[in-house]
Amino acid sequence: MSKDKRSTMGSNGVTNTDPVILATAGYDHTIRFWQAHSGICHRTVQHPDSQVNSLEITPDRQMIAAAGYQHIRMYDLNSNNPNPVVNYDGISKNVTAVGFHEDGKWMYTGGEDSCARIWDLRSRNLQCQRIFQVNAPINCVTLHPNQGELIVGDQTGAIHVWDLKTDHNEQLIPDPDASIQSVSIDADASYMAAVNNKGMCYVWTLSGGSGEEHTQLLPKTKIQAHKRYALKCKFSPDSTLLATTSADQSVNIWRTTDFSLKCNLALKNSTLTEQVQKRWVWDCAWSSDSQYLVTASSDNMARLWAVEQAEVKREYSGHQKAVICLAFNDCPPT
Amino acid sequence: MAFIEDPAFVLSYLRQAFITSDDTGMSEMVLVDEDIEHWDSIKQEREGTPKTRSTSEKPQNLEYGDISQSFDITASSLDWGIRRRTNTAQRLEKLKKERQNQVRCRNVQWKEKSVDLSSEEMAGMFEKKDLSEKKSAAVPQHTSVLAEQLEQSPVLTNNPFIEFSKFDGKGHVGSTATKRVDIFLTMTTGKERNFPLTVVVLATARVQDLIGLICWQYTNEAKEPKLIENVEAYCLHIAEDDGEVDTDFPALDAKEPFAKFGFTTLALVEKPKDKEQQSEIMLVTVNVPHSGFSRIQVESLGLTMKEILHRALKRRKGRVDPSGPDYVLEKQSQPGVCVDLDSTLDSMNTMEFCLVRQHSTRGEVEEETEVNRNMSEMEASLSSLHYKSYRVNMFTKLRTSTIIQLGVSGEKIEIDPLTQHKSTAAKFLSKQKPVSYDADLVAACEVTDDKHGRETFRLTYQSGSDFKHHDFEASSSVATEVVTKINHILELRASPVRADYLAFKERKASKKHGLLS
Repeated sequence: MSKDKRSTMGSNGVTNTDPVILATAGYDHTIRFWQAHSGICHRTVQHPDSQVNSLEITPDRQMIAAAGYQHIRMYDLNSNNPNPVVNYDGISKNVTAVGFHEDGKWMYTGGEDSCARIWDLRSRNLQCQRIFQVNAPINCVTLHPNQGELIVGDQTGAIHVWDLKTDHNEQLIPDPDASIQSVSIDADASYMAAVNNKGMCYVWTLSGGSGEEHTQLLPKTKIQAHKRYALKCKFSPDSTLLATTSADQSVNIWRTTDFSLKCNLALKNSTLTEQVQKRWVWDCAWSSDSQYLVTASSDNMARLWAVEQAEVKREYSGHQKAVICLAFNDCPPT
Repeated sequence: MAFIEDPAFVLSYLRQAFITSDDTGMSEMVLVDEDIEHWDSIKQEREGTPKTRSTSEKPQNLEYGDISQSFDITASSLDWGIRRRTNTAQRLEKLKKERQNQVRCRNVQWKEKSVDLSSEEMAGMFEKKDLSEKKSAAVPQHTSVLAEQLEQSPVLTNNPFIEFSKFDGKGHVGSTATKRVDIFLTMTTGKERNFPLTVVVLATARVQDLIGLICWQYTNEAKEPKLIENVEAYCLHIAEDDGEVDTDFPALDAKEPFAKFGFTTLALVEKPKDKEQQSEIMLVTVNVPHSGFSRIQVESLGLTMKEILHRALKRRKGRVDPSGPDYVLEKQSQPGVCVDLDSTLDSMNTMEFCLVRQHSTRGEVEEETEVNRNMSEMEASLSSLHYKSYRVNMFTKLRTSTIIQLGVSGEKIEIDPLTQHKSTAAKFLSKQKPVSYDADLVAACEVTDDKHGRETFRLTYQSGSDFKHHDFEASSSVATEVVTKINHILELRASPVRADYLAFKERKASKKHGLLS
């Protein structure tokens, strides 16, 4: 692919060099790209044969990875090619998590085959594939900001800290009867949060994790974040807030200073429709200024919230089925 | 170039090639007859040939030897010239296409690690980043690109048509079945009116969804004037390329899937406001104890009961003294309960009322009729003098029918046309002026025809020195009632006109009889 082709205009006058990328996907086998500020869908690509479990934009903003059943597919962000350009397969079950090394050296995935994998992105001969096996299907994988440790959460409620260089791993189980749904570490690696299917949110303070030293986890607090299933947790880029999404159809925003509730992002009763029972909030993403939160929910919609006012700013409507994952990037390369 | 020596085959081929695909029938004329003759000669020729050859040719004969007598076989049914590709060929092509797609899509298969990485390589790939620097350098608060864009983009007023945005096919071209349509917006003015709005809609959308999508896009583009916030207020009409709406065709059915229509240019038109409801004539029946009932024509259900009472009293002027005691209305089904005169007809849920004097009841009348049922014949003849109106069809000279109100009372018979809402042509042809005939001038009234529950009846009256007539049509029950009522009146009055008419009829009959014998 030549460089100049990548900078061409999209078919509908929407430049592909839009500094803000928002993509959503879920059960309708499509990935939709949105103009975040207008709510207009400017591109749709097919994701055949499978739902999309997770989406992630590559650090160079050239491609987007979609994790589905037995595949991870990469789509070109800067062309209108409706087909994937790279297809990673050879995995037996659902891939539930996908992410990238910040310099794009490798990609990590986790799946229901109980394996976390490292895929070499630099060369075609895949000389440094890595695999880490746990005892239960993996729900979530997060990369420590030090780029050297993977945090893996599984269905038996265990959180594994896998040191990629030394293969050393540590395991902790906050609650043996609950499945870990999501793990998040804030940008300066001071806190780690994990949520489970009982609606509990556990927070640890982190230390170490540089050089040969492994990261040490020190329990800080635990909060009943939601009454029902908690599905996702994410620290804001400025580390001041933590968002937890839930099956109770709302998102809670917590202050990291004392882990008190700042606000609850839920739709007012007046706008509730018959689909209210299905509106699980599956995924969320922060804007780089920590002022806005994009959420994906099973009422086929994605929404943009202004966190301070706790109100919906934009709605992204177009999916025919539940939206369960999203990818957002508003940091154009400088 | 083919070299064929079998004439039978050539003939058969020509027949297939020309006759079957020739619409003009010319080839048939040229070929058929001679063909048959030749055929016979060929056959004879064949029979003369040695046995061995004919047996070997037999299967061939079966293929083309028998002349098909049917010219209905057309070229298309034979797939002449174009042979459908086999399933295998189609599948091969599909596979080829898939392979081509896969060439463009790099496939990476998971491989278990085969070689141990050197510690150097491991360090290069998985070295931990030192975060302590980053921690110290606090990032100053900045506004994100998203925040900037949000600020710049116009505040989108809540688009009431947001639910239809999911039918927007923009950005799906090539991945999902979509249709592109040019929509002329008839509510806009000036430049907007002349240029269509291009809409890309998903092929799965219904017409209603497309209307919603147009409204959504219209609102998004902040066009003026603002739309009514209800998709049902609009419909889609076929339009010319220049934007002219083709009103000869009805609007597209809102419930149909849009994909089944092949139109690429349409016009969004605001539906006329409930025209149908207006043209429907509603009648309210107001019963008056002791003196029959009146039918009052109302134009809407929004009328207040006060207005209906007023009209009822006006209609019954003379029989009921409007200036006298106060009257109230009761529902026919609920004796003794006055209706609220300020409420609307709509809220009554009935079209039948009873007019009673305030502080009195209507009960006695009903009891009376109960007792005197056997006197009903007598009563009918008496009540026949009371005014009563009927809605019937009247035939004009041109045999078109028009709805009229036929008012019958002891004194006169009135014909009042009811306003027509149909096409102008019908109005023009069937204009019926209101007329009234003195009961003394009416000569006869009889049923002339009866079919399928509708009866035709004829009203004969004297005009100058001869008899003229009007023909009406109504449902059997109404027709019978009118005819009975008028005949009662005629009997009661025993006017000279009727006697004249009967004598005239008798004379005519005897004349006819005379002619026949």
